[in-house]
Amino acid sequence: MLASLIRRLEEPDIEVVNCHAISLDEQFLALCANAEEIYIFELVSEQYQRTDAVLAKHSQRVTGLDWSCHRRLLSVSEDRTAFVWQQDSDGKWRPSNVELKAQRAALCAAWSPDGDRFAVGLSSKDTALCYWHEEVNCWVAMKVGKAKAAITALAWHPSSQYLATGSTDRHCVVYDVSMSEEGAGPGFGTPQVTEDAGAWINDIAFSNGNVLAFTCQDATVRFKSLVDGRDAPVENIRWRGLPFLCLAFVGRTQLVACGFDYVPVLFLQRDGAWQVAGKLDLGAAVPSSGPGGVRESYDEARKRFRPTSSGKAATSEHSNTITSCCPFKDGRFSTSSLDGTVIVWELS
Amino acid sequence: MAELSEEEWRAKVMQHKAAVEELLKARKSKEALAEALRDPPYGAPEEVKLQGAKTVLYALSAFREAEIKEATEKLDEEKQNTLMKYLYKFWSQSLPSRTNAQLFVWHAALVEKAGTGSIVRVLYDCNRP
Repeated sequence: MLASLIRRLEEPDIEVVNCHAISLDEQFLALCANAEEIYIFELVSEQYQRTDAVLAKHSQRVTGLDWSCHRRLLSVSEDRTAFVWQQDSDGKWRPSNVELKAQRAALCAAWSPDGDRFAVGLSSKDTALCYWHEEVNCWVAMKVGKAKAAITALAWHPSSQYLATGSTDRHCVVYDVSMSEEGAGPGFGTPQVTEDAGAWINDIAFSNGNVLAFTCQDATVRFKSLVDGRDAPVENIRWRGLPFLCLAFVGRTQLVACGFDYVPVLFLQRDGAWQVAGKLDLGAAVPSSGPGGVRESYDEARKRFRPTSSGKAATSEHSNTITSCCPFKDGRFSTSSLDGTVIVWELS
Repeated sequence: MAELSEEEWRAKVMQHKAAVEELLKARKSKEALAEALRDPPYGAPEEVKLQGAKTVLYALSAFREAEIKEATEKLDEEKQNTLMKYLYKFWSQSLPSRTNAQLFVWHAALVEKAGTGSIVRVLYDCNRP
């Protein structure tokens, strides 16, 4: 299975993209070029066009962006603040304040699927769960969880009742964050599932079928099917390349993972077991060397450790590490990379 | 991973060593290597781990250069990763340079079979044999 390129965004003044987010209807794209400003693009006749909107409220690098289903944009930054942006009737993006109460940088952000709350992963070893407070007219944070190191990844369960967090303390924890009418529900903040991954957690994702997937810095992707309860076995798939930085489910049985290898990789669930289906971007065909003996392949292996000559043709769409990945419907997803491009793919 | 006491670890590693030597005497070098790499002493005290490493080195030295590639093909994923971790451990031990050079042949064969991911796991997996 391969993925075909649907849209590509490339702007001369954007050299790297460290995070991006596309709204669920694919209408708006927000990206950060490793700086304090956020650029907004709008889909006009099948291509993303830059709008005049430059959201410049942050004073340090923006680390996380996410669109809610109500088309609100959440942005979080290393300056320990977060903002929720909404477009006015005159087209301008107006920020709402967020009382994040963060003592350290915010590293990642995610809206709940129902769009009412959002979670922000902080470097201060906890997660801020924010809800709209009518009386003070801003978003107020409740702290959830206590890890031993920075929270680097977040994922909401499709029901918006559970939040999975991944941290550099090598643990992945799923918390109960259900709310009742009076406020926090009875089990609020209690860890439901805890997994020790053995390496820093780079990203987490929940599928519609109750499968929790997380990827670690040791180049593995681990799957846990929560249908079988909190003690279900963890399937550990070792990847032969470099670690993944982001994950996205593009179907119940399909997961796309992207990272330092410059290409998205597809994982499929066949007969209940997850396995690597292959790279989704094989690039231009590379002429294969003829069949050789042991000696030849040993030499090829040694070449890997010598500095490669310049002028090597790029064989994949992205020419640098993929930094973030957003899923949409119908097997489509987008990736942004340190080469300054954002690409929308469709699985064929 | 079971929490074993120091004596239990020592006994386990000695048992392991005996099994590997047995297989090497019977000239079953591939099985000896597989046995040496099975169940590494994660969590054991350092001197016990060193004994485990010596056993692996002993098993590795039973191979001629031409047999190395075939031997790595026979190992399963987990053992390939464990072997890569041991290679880096050996290189940190200031062994004679002839031994080090032989280990490079293993490294090249492993990278071809298991990819750069196995090297990443040496760096980032917190379990060290």
